[in-house]
Amino acid sequence: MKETISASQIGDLALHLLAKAVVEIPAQYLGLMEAACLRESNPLARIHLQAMLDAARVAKEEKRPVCQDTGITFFQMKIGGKIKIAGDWTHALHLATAKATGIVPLRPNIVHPLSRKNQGTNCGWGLPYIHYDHVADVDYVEITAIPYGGGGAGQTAFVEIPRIGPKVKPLMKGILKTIIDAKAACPPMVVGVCIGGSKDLAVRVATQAVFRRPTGAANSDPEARAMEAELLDLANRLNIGPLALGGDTSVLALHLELRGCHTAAIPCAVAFNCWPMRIASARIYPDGRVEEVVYPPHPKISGEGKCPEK
Amino acid sequence: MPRKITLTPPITEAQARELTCGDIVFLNGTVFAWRDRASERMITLADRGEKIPFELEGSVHWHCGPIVQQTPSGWAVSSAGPTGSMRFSAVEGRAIQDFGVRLIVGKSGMSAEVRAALRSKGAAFLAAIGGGGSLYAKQILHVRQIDWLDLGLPEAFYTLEMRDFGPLLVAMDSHGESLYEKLRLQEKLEELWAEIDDRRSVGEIDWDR
Repeated sequence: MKETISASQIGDLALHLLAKAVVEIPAQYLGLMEAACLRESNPLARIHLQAMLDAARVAKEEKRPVCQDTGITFFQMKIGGKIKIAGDWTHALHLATAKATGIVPLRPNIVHPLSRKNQGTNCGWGLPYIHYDHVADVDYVEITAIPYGGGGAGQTAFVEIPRIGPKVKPLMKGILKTIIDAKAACPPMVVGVCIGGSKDLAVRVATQAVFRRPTGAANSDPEARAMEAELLDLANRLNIGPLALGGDTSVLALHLELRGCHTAAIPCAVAFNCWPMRIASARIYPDGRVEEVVYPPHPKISGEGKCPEK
Repeated sequence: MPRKITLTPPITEAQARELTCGDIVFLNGTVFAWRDRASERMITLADRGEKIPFELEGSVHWHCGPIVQQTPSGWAVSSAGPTGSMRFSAVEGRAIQDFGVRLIVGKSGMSAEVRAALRSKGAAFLAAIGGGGSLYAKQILHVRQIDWLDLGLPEAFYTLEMRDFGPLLVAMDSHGESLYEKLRLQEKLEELWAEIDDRRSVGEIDWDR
């Protein structure tokens, strides 16, 4: 007999994670911001990075959402193959989203696309957005709550390249162009890229790549790793900078994924997140134990949101 | 060091013209916060020749849809920061020309049409920190009024009383300057493209593949 996790346990944890994600930017991520601040040679960009770190600190201390745009609620789930879930867990995630909207509160962003009717719950018409993976060998459910801000989410784009001829250079150029075009997304940004797949898969994988953790960790595939390192370096020479007002850090991290694709096609999708990385993950086990999934900041970095003195 | 300037709305033409790109502004007093749906309503009213029911002469616009909550002592704002301003270029071009709006607070810049309006009427665009919602919410002394609630909470028209609202960076001024234009991003992109063209490989990847 498989052990059981209830839908209501999943809902309770989802509510907790959503409430946490909007006010607390992960320390590991703040570490990347601090490192960017230390590296920055443009004085105005340094002031902006410091203000962002201040905003993150105040948000955590006072439990104020760091950004007023608490976005579209996106849940990524890992469902262990060794357990079973009693009850309707997707419904539990809907209830958690509606509850968080009332008590955190979140900004009620979700409307009908045509009538613009707002139910005030951040739910409805197929939202929240839930993606789940089945992971055969584990005995937990892992929930990742992502309040995905409209500024970043709205910039998702395809890179179109000629189907006849070389692929690598046109992709590199096209991805850089896409990053410039996304500069309104509150840089420094996190960029997710998927090369390959079907077009719909490319968008989903690029989006999930944005939220790959720990942020900035390299892909284990050597080709993907080489390309993401190169793209990150090139992107940070664009001088977009914090708030698109110039500086050495335009992109804090770039995660690239490769997927198989049809012989006739090479889809490429690019997705973005703004600097406030809102994300929180935890695992729940059948005995009710909850384990938050956290990543430590770089050992030389405080992770407390302080721009180091030069 | 940049100049620090504190202003209290209504803003005069002379005060707006005094601002130059790179100045840091703090505001005390009334600021109007609104976004997409309210901008549509303003355009509709203006097109019909009806009066927009707010005193726009010398006013400050903030492109922002805050997180608000009703409390026993009134509306409370937990987070309020700028939303992207480019999409409001048409409405602000008109608001500056026809209704005397003097300062626009937002992010990521506005169109050439707005730049021209800033110049001809004497007004400025101030960049706030995107994602700085926790900081700016603390500068809201109180929510004086919320209008157009029928548009939905994020889309309503907010009249806010601010204290030391800032730092706001003058990013487009009345002298035709724009900090965004100075970055020459397109030229940078083309330089990097040329560099990519000259490359042969990176890591294990043949770039001509």
